[in-house]
Amino acid sequence: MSPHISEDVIGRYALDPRLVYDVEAVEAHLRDCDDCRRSLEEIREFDNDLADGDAWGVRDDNLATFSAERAEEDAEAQELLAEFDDAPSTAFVWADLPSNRDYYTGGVVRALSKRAHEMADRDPRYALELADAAISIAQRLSEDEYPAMALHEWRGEAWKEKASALFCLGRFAETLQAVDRAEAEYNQLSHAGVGHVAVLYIRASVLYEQEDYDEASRLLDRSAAAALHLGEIDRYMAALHMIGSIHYDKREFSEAAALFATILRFGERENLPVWIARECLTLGSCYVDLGELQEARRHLEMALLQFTALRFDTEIARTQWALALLMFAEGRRVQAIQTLRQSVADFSRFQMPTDAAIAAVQLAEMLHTMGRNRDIPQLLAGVVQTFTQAGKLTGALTALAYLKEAAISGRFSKPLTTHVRRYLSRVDHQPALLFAPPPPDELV
Amino acid sequence: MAVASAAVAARARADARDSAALDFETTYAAYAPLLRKIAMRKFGIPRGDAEALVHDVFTTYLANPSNVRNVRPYLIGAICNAARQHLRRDATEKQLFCEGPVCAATPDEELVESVIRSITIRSTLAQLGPSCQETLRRFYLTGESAPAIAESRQTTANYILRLLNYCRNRARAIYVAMSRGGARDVSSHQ
Repeated sequence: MSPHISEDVIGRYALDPRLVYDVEAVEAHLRDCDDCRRSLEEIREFDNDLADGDAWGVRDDNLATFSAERAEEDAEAQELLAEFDDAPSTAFVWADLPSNRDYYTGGVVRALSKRAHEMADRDPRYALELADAAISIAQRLSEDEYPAMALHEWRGEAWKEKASALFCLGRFAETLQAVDRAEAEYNQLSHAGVGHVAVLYIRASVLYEQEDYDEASRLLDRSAAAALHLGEIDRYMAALHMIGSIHYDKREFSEAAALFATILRFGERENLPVWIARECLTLGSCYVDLGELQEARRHLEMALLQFTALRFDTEIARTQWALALLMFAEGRRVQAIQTLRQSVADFSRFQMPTDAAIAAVQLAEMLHTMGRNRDIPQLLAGVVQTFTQAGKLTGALTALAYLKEAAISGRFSKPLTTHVRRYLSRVDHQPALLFAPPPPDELV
Repeated sequence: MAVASAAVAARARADARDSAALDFETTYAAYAPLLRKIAMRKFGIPRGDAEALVHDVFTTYLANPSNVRNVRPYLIGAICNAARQHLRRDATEKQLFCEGPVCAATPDEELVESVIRSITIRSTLAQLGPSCQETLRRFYLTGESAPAIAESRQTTANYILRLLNYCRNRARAIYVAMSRGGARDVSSHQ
């Protein structure tokens, strides 16, 4: 065989065979020589790499510009909306942002959606106003100014926040309509993302409140899987937590405990105090129902410690409530009643009449078990007063009055309190829900 | 006072813009090649379509970056969803998410190697002189012919072909040296 061809000649041949003098001889050699053929293949592979934009670090200028403009808009929106930072919600409503062209920016839409998200739990009516303004402005933005994908993302986000606010207000039919609108926007994107995960979660929340546990679980499974796929561990854990709550409500305490324990391990591994505290509370409550009182105490005491460090006063009251149930199960009944009385007082002080009422009904149940029925009417009258003072004139008052009457007439029973507690927990999210006494077979 | 506060606000906006530009450069350089290769190699999507999908995934991410807690798994999950949606565009079934215990887009060793290779070549090309860089870029990336490049430079196509061969040989030599010494450093970007 003739000696090897130089790399230079192989390189020229790879570029254009006409660049070598004796092309036939070169090709004949390449047919016979593995080494030279390998060299040619390596050069061709390198040539392919040179044709790849990634090798040249080709930058997407449109994206770079969009990224910079978005950040600038965010800063600008912060300035524009600064006047509403500490202002009452009425000031925002009167300002009527969608009527002013100065506010027609993506930055304002994002800022309003973010603010709506923050306010949903605290002041859902204000959150709804914010989300409506975000939707209205987002609809006015044009594809001439923004990428279509970004517009769909922002509109989807604004509708999603509206859905969250409506959910917190217990307006479930409208929640689902808003979720449909959010989903329609997200479906215009070229891929499913965090928005789809959130939409599934809100739908599941509505179904959970309506006690359609099977369908809620199905959606939550999908939401959890999709969140995990996108690396959104917090959203994954939130979906898992709600699945655990469904099991708890269905009195499947072991299944619930297994899920809460998984989330607790995540919280401990990532050192996230809120998750740790929350899951210690739910897990401790499961153990009370399972009769594993030592485990219950260990978790509830940890929850109390964590919530105290976090200064989450309402959650401290909730944990005390769970501890009272534990004490009752441990046989320390007087201490349990004192602790639960304190929780009822705390919830009233925090202006959380629904929680105060549910805790009071549970306290009434304890008093009934101890044969102290005569104390029940006075206890329930106090809660009715809390409701009335808070202006919450819902079916909850009827339910409490019904229970009080049952205590006076000697019809008080555990199934009845369970029915009333269940109703009270629903009516807070669904103010229009009417109270109906339990059917006779439920009282057996 | 009003002038001063306007100046502060303008400065804040400019800072936000600069910071976002820097963040974008870093994120795009670190992940765009990986996402493109996932779309192409894992899902068999042609380069042009893969480019468009990566663009869309980044646009959605940049539209609301605060929604994303963990960029890497988010972008990989998103390109997986995008690729599947692209492939299923005409199919009757419309599955929104990549489901299953292991994401189809999870980068394997071969894919990571290929991304590392692209990044190493990028560093290699940066070490060439401007004339070599421009010539290679026009010929390989832009797809201009040797005669076209020659005409714009008022020289012969033969000269350009010889220059291309010389520049590519230089690049390969640098690449080989870098692959032996520096590939590990580059891999940390992935």
